[in-house]
Amino acid sequence: MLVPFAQFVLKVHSRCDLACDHCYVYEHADTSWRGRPRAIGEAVIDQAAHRIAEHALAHRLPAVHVVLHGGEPLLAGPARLRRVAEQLRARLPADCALDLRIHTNGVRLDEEFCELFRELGIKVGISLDGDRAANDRHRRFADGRSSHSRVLAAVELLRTPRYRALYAGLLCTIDIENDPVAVLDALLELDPPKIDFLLPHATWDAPPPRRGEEAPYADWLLTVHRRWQRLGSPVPVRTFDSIVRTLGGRSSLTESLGLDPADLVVIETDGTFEQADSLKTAYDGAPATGFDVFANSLDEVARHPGMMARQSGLAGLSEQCRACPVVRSCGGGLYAHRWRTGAGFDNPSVFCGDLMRLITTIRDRVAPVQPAAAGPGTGLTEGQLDQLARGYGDGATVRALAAGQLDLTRRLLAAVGPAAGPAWELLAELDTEAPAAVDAVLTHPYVRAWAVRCLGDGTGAADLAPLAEIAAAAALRAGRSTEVAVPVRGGAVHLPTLGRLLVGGGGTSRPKAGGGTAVLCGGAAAFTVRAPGGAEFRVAHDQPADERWLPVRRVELPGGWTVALEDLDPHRDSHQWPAEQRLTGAELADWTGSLREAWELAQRDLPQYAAGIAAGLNTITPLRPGPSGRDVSAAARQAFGAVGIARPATAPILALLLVHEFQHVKLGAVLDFHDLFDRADPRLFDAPWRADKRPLEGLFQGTYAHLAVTEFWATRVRAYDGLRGEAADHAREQLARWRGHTDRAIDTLLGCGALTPLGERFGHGMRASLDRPPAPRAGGAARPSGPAQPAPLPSPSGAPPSGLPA
Amino acid sequence: MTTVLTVEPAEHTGPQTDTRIPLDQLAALGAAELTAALYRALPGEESGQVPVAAFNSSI
Ligand code: SF4
Repeated sequence: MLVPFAQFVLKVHSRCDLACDHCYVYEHADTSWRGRPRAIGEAVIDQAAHRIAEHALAHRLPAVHVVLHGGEPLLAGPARLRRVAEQLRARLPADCALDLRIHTNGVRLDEEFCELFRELGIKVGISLDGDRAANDRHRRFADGRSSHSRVLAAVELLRTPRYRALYAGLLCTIDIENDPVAVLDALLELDPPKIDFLLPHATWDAPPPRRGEEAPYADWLLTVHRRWQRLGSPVPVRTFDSIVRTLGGRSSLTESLGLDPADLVVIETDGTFEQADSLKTAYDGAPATGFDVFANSLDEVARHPGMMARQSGLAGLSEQCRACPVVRSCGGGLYAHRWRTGAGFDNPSVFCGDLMRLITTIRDRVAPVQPAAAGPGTGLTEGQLDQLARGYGDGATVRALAAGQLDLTRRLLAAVGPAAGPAWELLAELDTEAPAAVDAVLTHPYVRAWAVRCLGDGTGAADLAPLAEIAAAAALRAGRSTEVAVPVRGGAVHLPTLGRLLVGGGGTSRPKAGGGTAVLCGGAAAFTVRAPGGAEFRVAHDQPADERWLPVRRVELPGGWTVALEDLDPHRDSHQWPAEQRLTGAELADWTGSLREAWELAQRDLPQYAAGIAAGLNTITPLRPGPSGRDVSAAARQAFGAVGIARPATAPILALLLVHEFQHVKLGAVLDFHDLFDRADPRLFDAPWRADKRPLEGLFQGTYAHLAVTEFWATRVRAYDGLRGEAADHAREQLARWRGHTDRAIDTLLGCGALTPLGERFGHGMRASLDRPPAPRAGGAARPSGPAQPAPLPSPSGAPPSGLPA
Repeated sequence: MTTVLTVEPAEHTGPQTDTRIPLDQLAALGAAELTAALYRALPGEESGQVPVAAFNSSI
């Protein structure tokens, strides 16, 4: 996948009026500045603006960020800077926002420039290394004079009310000889809206000064961090915020940390495209791409191998980084800092020890301390993870997954529920008084699906009515006889996990469509519902289904598996295919018969899958038949414990669909708490069972499911042992096909370079199961299930489509 | 087949958590913290935009 550029560093001048001895442009390996025009020319400005606009249009970018940079960009002079801003604004598509900034040493920043920037909407960032002593260590004029007072004057200008909105922040390069507290205090005194600290540029060939200490840069930054925390984190510090964000799984705010792909390109004064500016520190010519604005589009630049390397996340890192516990936050550090002659960039950062200490210490400092904040998790043992890695999972393992899911649903509910007022208060009260009653409702798969929809709503007007339904169902289960207000929708009161009572009257089943409020009251032998019009309905606990009361119907199967056929819940439509309406008596009987037969087969032939199904699959949502008789089934990541299936023609195919979909359910529950692969890896991979390429998660899910499909066909082939005929041949073909597909997919996964150590364990576990499927149970089936002769298996594909992106 | 109302809490079959934190205590953590900790489980941003990090040498 091509990651379009959204950040453009436009070099408007290639020289500087300071002579800082730590500058990566002039003082490091790359010497390309010598051959470049000093200032950007008009033709380059216009063509660069054209290329950026062309790219924004092609990729429908909502915004582009352009940084005017140098050298010292103010040396380009007001006329050139104006032309850049005007050209960009004129050429960019109307719906693409422009974030335009300039990053300067501040020496020349005067009122004239500030007026220009105010007019053109250009924000100003300033380089300043701290207090006077710190700043003077490197940031001096060529004749040795201090630049400090000139820079302070520039910052003062930006702090005046007229220009305050232009003030973007301060950028400070670390020198460990400087006093970290004095540096932070000096920066804070200037009231910046944002700060960042940069590690000095260094490589394995030219390591940074260390004074013989192990991790002096971490220690320096941690002293700053401690002080910053004590002061109440008065301004955002990009490095610290990026570490906390990435520890919490969010994106980094800087290219020097995290695994987010680089979407940045540099345009030099002569119009050549270059890679990350910091590469100048690695070796002479390192950032070069050989492309320029006149001959090449930005799409061509995006396909440059150097660009792609910095967009491949975990897969683009050295082996040591890939196995590192803090890699998601660190990301191997700034690309340039990994350079070593001979090994290229395939190394950890030269600041590895510092980054490790910095990230782990900040992690420990910001870790929540209250027990109530104990993180969510599955609490799987190593042995249980091993079972899951092989594609299986016994009852205890799947119960552990389910416990993690219940905790997850409770946390989601706690995130959305409080806005529901009295219903939330009732639920919270029941939660301490009758926890089992509450959890019995919260294990319903579609509670999570609803809560996630509420979170994603983003309008602040999420449909919270289902919370009252959840509270009412929990109150009934708890034997409460208090009155609970419940919404009437589609003329019905819905009680998740229990059933639906048709009370008549208005309302539709659509969320937020008003139908009024009914009052429900539980009791020892029955519950009553008073409809908005005053009519009262009574449902006895032993009352069979009738024209008003539609209970959730559960099928009890041998071996302790009880599963609901969910044809009522308004949120059951969470799968890729449309849900079936309430089943008629005859359809219900067909389902029950098929399930019994399929379950018998699964228990006997696929016990390694059946045990987990009995423990964790509590809901089957009947789906509408697929187009032209195609088998249709689906699992939904946000509905643990449910699978959707259109009842297939034969029981063996139902068994196949159950094990296939429950694989997705199990793997989804693992992925909810564990990283098996780099989630930010943007690549697409060949999935042998599909025509289109799939992202890593889809490939992983498909492989995991098809492992079970392969084992299913292996049991069929064993059952037909020695028999001839169409059905037997079909089974053999299917086995060969799915074994081949699964085998290739496991190869792709193991070779992709983006698996975490746990992901590799799953890859090897699946391979082990594929090579050595467990022997059938002693005394178990040598013969297929069902009627005396094996039923033909008329599945056109052999494996069903799934609602997960397999 | 169960076709009648079953209101028992289903205590015997429900998953058990070792550290069951009451809902109101969870709610006290606030939606932002709760959902941040569950980032793996929640659908990604639908914008189609891949998150990217900013140029190091400017602010
Ligand atoms: S801390 Fe070191 S090993 Fe870990 S990701 Fe960063 S550079 Fe790589």
